[in-house]
Amino acid sequence: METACVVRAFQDRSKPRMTARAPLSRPDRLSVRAVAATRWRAVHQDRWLLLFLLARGIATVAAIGLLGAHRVTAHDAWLALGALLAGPGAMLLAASSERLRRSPLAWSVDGLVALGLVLASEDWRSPFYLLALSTLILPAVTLNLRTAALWGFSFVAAYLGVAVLCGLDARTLDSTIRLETLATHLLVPLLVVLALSYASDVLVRLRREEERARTLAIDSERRRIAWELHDSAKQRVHSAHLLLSSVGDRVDAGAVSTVDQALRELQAATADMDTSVSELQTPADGRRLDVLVRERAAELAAICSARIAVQGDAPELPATLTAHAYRIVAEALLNAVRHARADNIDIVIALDNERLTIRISDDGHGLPQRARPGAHGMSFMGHRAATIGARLNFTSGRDGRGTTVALDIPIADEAPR
Amino acid sequence: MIRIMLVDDHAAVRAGLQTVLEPEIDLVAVAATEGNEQLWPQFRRTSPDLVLLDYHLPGQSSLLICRRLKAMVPTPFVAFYSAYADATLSIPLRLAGADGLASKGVAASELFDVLRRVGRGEKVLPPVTRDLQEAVFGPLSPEDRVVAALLLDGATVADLAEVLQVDAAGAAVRVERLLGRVAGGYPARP
Repeated sequence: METACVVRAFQDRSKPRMTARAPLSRPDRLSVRAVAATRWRAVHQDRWLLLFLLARGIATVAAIGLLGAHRVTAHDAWLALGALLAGPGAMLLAASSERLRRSPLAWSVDGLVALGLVLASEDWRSPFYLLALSTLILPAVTLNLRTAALWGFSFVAAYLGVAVLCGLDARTLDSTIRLETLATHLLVPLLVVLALSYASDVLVRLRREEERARTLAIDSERRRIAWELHDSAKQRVHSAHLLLSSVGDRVDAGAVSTVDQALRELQAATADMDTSVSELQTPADGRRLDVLVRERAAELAAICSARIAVQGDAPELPATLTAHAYRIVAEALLNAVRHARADNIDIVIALDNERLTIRISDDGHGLPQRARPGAHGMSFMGHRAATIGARLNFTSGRDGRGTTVALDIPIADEAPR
Repeated sequence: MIRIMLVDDHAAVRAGLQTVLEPEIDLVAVAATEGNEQLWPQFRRTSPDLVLLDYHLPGQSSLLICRRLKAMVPTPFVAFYSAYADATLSIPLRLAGADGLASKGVAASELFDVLRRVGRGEKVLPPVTRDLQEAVFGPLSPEDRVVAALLLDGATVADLAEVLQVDAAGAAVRVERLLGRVAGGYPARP
């Protein structure tokens, strides 16, 4: 277990990695609710609402036209009024309220009103058949294929019931033409529902693919910028640092402190670049410091046997401050797991008197007596702390066991940027 | 006097190194190259005592270059130079036969110190710790682990050939394949 932990911890280097994680896997992890939301967005984007309004309008005109052309019942005027209510009335309601458009209850009421009109017209070959059909559009494009098919079957069953109430019996179906008309009346709703649901499903898929491609493109752009920062700018800064460090003993005494200052600045610049490179690879995306630390702790805890507890919350901080502070804490955390082989790690985030303090304490091997050759993690942490004006302290326990890293960040007047 | 060949794909780094080495009487930059096809002709022409080799050379494996340099006669010392130098490089560098490691972030005096010590025949590499060894050896196949362990113990290609019962060319291929597997620790070009 411990070996596995160390192996993973090493692979999970604190230095820049070029594998971006979250953005890639996000589209695969769309929750059910998110899928429903995407589907609903598609109803807007693909102009399904327009189709509904158009179909409903045509159905109303057809119903009133038929009622005007033929005497259907003794109460045609009332039926026409009903058509106006179920037609333009429903169109107004649907156009004005998104909640009604996506509410199964509203769809059901709409469908029942249309079927009621069919019943009131006393014939299943009713002038209101088109109106009844148009009630299927919104459910078909919003529900998934299976549920939409179920909705379509229910509609057909209800329509058959209405037809029986209108006097449909075995004698009526003697003629082939009547049988064919009934079959058409019952099959068309199913076809409408299935075709619309399928089309809407395909469009949603297309849109999701598009979104995924866009995420991937942003991701690769991020990696490209990270690479260029690293590859070019950082090398030049290193080179400048090297050049300047070589003149240190040849400048007169008065200039020594200036040169030292410039060297520190250059070193801070490389720390800055490391931070922004890491930032591009695993972006904080505006999350708070304590959220980032908790996420990292959970990641590490999942791959090793150490117990990592995080307490306290951080306020909203400027993005650069959050990024630097997070990298320092992440490095300290990785050191505790990687080098100190700690079993228990406690992170306490505390805010008092315009200072944010973060203490990372562990029960591991403690600080090395001498710095490991080639190990620069601690000095990089120091550079980062200096960049944000923070104090960074490393202390070992009395018997040399355990390490506490304390980061003390002044945050007075730091409004989130 | 230590005659040094500089291999780095960044012109800024090569120029910087040449400039800082200029006043050092005992350290002389005799060649500077970005690697690739210029590397070997320049190496043969100048026959340096020490090669300062960038760990990350795009499109080339610095570990393989190191391995081949260490097979040349006369054999140069090889010191790696990296913007991401840390302890985790210690095993890959040892497997490649390197003599030293310097971080690109250090002051010139510290770099000179590494160059002088390597030029005297010292090994200036981060130590191999147990957890590091576990981390690097863990993912390797049993055969690779054997090759890696032998190399860390200082086995030559001839020794390897004997143990693995293959010819020298076969053993060299095994080593190069191993180096490909332990490399890393550096961001890959997107």
